Amino acid sequence: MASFLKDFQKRFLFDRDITRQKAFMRTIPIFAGLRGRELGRLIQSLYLRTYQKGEPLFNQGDIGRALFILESGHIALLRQDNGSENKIYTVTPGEFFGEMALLEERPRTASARAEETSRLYLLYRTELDELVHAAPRIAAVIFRHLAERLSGRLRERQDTRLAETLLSRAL
Amino acid sequence: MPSKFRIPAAAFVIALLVIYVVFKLFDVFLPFLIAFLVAYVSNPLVNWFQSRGFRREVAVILIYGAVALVVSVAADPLRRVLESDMARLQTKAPLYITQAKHMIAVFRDRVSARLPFGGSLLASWSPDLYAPLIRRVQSVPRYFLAMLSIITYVFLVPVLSFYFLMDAPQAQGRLIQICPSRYVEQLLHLLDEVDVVVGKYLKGVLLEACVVALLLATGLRLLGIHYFVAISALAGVGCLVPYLGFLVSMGFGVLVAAFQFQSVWAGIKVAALFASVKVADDIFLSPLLPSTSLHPVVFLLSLMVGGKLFGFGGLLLAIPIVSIARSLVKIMWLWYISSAGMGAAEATSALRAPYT
Repeated sequence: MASFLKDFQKRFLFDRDITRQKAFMRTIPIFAGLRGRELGRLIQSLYLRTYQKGEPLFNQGDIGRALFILESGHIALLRQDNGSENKIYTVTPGEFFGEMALLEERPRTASARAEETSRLYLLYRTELDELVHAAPRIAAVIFRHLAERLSGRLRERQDTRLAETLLSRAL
Repeated sequence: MPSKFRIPAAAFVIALLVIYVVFKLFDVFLPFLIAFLVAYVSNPLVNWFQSRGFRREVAVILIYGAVALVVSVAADPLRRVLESDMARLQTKAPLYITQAKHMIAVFRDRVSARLPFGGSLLASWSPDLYAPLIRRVQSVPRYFLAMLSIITYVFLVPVLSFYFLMDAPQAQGRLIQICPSRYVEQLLHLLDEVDVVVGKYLKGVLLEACVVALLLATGLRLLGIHYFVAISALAGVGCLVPYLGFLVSMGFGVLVAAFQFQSVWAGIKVAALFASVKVADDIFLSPLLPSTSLHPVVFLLSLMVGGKLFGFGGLLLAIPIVSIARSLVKIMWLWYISSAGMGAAEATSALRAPYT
């Protein structure tokens, strides 16, 4: 009887798609620390879109307004220097990019293009702003992770600059 | 036109066309609009269930079941009272109007007897001045009854809102999917802004309508006024048309009280009740409710232009439409300043201390 009820719940009451999406979101570092229901609420703030092979997500110089989370496929990040376009990174499933658009609307520093058919979740900046009021804990967790990433990148950059300065003085 | 402004400009033109068509075929669209409104208001509840892992269809059926239960238990007697009150009010309205004219004539005679210039002053008040107003006031119960005939859509609206609720995420997903990829972010920005504006307006108006109707129903019941359910319901619906709706319902309340008790004081008491509820609404309730934050001048101008161009429908939809138009203009401006790099300069220029 108990197993029948459990099976009934799984089949008819609960949405398998949401359970799968929640499981996927648990693996995304920027959402680490969110509870089950919070992940459910977060999923409702995300937009899912499929990009075909070769389709651009955004171009370098476009104003960024969303964070992209790759569920399946591969995305190439490309940067244009002196007229030529170079691939700087390939995003793999479970990774996210464009997170700085959640903090400020600035031109994208690279272009993104689907290398194959890819499914991505988009977290739009105003959706995050809405979460600040509607579900502050979710927004706080995301902002904390963003701040950590930003801080890490600043430190990395400063260390690189310091190393470069020391090296130039030594030479 | 720069490409970044094409989407908001196109959205603006499409929105205007949609509004024009809706106004032209208002009767046809009415059940769809009501169903959309019902679905829009219930959607957060469906989302609440979904965020807990429930299937969307299960959530919708649960909500429909709960609403059906409430309607079958509580709303049916209330509807019957409301309908019979309204029908009685419509029958007696001409009598009330005749009595009102008589009261005005008596008042004029008394004033002319006591004041030397009062008679000539009041005699210049031709009934022609207030006749059109009285005709309008007479027809308000008919409007309200026509709105109640929405009950004839009792099967249509739930079915339509069921489809709206069930298919909203897929429709949104399809819209995002067919949008050229470079413009997806802009489309989401637009959808989000419109959603925020419409959501704020609807939440604010519906909450205000419920609270105002409840307060007035309690007050009128305590004063022992007939048709208290109908008058307070009219005042609640009147919240959809700022100022005018409230004044019309207050006029009805005052007339009913004056004729019921054959006393001007009863009318004054009802007017005082309406005024107190309005003041309490403005001071205590409105600041707590989500609003469109339109400037009062723009607010009034929108109402007047909407009413002049499209009549009652224009009064009803003027504020949400102007709010949406304002948010579209705001988006275009934001896109312009962010693309011109004017947005975040001050944030970095304030940094003086080194990173530690």
